[in-house]
Amino acid sequence: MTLDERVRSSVVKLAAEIDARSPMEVDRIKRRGRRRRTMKRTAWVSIGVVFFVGFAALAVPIDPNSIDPATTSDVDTVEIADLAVTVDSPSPTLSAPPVWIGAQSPEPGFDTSGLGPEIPFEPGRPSVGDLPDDVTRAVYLGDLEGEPFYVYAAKAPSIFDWFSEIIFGNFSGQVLGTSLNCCSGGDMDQNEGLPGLGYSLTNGEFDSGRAEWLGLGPDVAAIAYEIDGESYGWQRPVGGVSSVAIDAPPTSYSMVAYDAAGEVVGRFEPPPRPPGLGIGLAPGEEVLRSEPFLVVTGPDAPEPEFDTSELGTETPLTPVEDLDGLIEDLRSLWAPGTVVKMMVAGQTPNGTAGFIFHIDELRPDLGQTRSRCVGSDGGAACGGDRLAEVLARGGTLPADPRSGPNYSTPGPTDLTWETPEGTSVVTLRVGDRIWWQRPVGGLTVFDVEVEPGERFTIIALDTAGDALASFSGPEIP
Amino acid sequence: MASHASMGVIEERTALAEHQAAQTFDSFYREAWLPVYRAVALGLGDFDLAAEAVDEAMTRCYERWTKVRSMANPRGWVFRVAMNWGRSRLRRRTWIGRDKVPDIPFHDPDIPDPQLVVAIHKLSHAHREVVVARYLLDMSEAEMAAAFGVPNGTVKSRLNRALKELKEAIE
Repeated sequence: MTLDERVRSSVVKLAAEIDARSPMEVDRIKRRGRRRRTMKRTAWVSIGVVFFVGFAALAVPIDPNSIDPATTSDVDTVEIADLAVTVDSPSPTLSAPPVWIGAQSPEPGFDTSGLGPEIPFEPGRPSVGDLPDDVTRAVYLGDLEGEPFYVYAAKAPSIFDWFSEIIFGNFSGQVLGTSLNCCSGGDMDQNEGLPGLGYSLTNGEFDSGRAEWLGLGPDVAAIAYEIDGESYGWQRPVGGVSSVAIDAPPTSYSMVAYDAAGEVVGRFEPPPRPPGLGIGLAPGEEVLRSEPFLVVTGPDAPEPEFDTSELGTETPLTPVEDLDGLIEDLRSLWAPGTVVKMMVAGQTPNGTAGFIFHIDELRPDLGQTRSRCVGSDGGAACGGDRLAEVLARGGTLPADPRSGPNYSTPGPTDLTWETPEGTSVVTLRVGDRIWWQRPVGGLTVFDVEVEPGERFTIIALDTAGDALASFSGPEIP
Repeated sequence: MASHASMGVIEERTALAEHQAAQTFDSFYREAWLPVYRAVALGLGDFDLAAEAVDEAMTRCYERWTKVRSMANPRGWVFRVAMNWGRSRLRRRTWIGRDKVPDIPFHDPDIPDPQLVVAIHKLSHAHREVVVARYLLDMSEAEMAAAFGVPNGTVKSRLNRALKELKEAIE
């Protein structure tokens, strides 16, 4: 039997071992599809990457958060995952979960003909059946593009969302979402009240996008959208929320909030995105590619001046054989134009590549300019610049797995660790097995067998063999 | 004038195109869900996640059915979307240090090629993906390249490397 036949036979046999499951009812899939990814909470690392084109300084420095819908006492508001939404009545129209009707904003009393076509919320009827099971409360704003549109709060769907809320200091245990899923949901809810524009890509291809502004005050009568220098349209907000679909990723856009008299009461205009955001070469880095993003490899760690023969088995990092494949993976997984730089440390003897890459993601509310991911083919840990500070090299590592190496369980385990400055050699001990490696670009990558119940200890040694830092992982479940 | 052989190919392609055009999403869903689910489960190593990923991919497929049904291999498109979605979930788990990618539980003690099976499990995600697409979903290199959004050469290189790893594992 040829290798081809043996592989086919094994794969088919393996697949047959997987128990058949009953698929979801096709009508349910179609309902979900019709809602156009309605209510799907996509975090900022998902495959159909929903990301912010930009949050930054405003051309007219009006803080969107200063438009406070709760300041007018004669307006009813409800809290939706910490977002105050204006409603037409304090009593919900539907229960289980409670659903309110959003309050109409004032009618513009000025000439809107120069703002492009109106993109209105059409009146309609809310239905609890529109909402997924984990929604706890919602406000129906009307129909947009023929679909019911809600702003809603849902239970934090995963421990990831809980962690991110804790890390970013906005813990509510609820996630904020809008029906057509632009700029809220998952760990995005710390952006509530901020305008934003997001779009999703599937396999690198634009498939949908929206511009939204939430948390508008009751005096805002119209939001005018300008995209790529052209008037795109305007909308009367409902419930302090405005949302319009876009049909392509813009290179520039702005949103202007008007009151009923036509006075500008808010403006959001992100600056053009500087390519690469000025990210450059670190000392000792060598450029491998400059397209489609900057690909570099880091300097080797300093030579050890002690005998490494007692350290165990060396697992050296060597240049990545399939660099094209790695780049293509990042392009397809993280969307074109978002990865700006990748430092490739190399690959292990088993072919596992380790890397650090940077993604444009502007979130001034968090003081972030970019997300940074550290990992290997087996998975990457990502965080913004604030989180990167927590994950900074050197010093005493806190006893928190997120501040130590990334690792996956059970084995074979991919483990990546950013080593402290001055590290010459890293040792990894699991049970009575010890491996060692010289980092490249300050990153070390192991992929070793780890059995359930084992613990690992990783130690960074300087050129003299003295320990600079160490981390002991929890028991592998 | 076309030869008999090429006429056969043309007729076959015409028939395929007509079948795809006539196929409703309902029938595609019924035929494709289980094989794609099994392929994704093999690729991700997590059955629950695979089911969730295929549901998500099928939803996106329905949204774009007019476009997807005219593709050379709609199953391949759904497979890729599901794999991407599932892998992003796995990355999130890894981020919090709680990645649990289980081994496929084997019920059959008479697996013909146990070393090969273990080696398939040890393939990287990218390599396992092309092996599953090639041998379980019968996708050609061109179909994989189109579905995965990568050049033909990348697919070929991944497949070659994966087979090389598998060969070394059983030698």
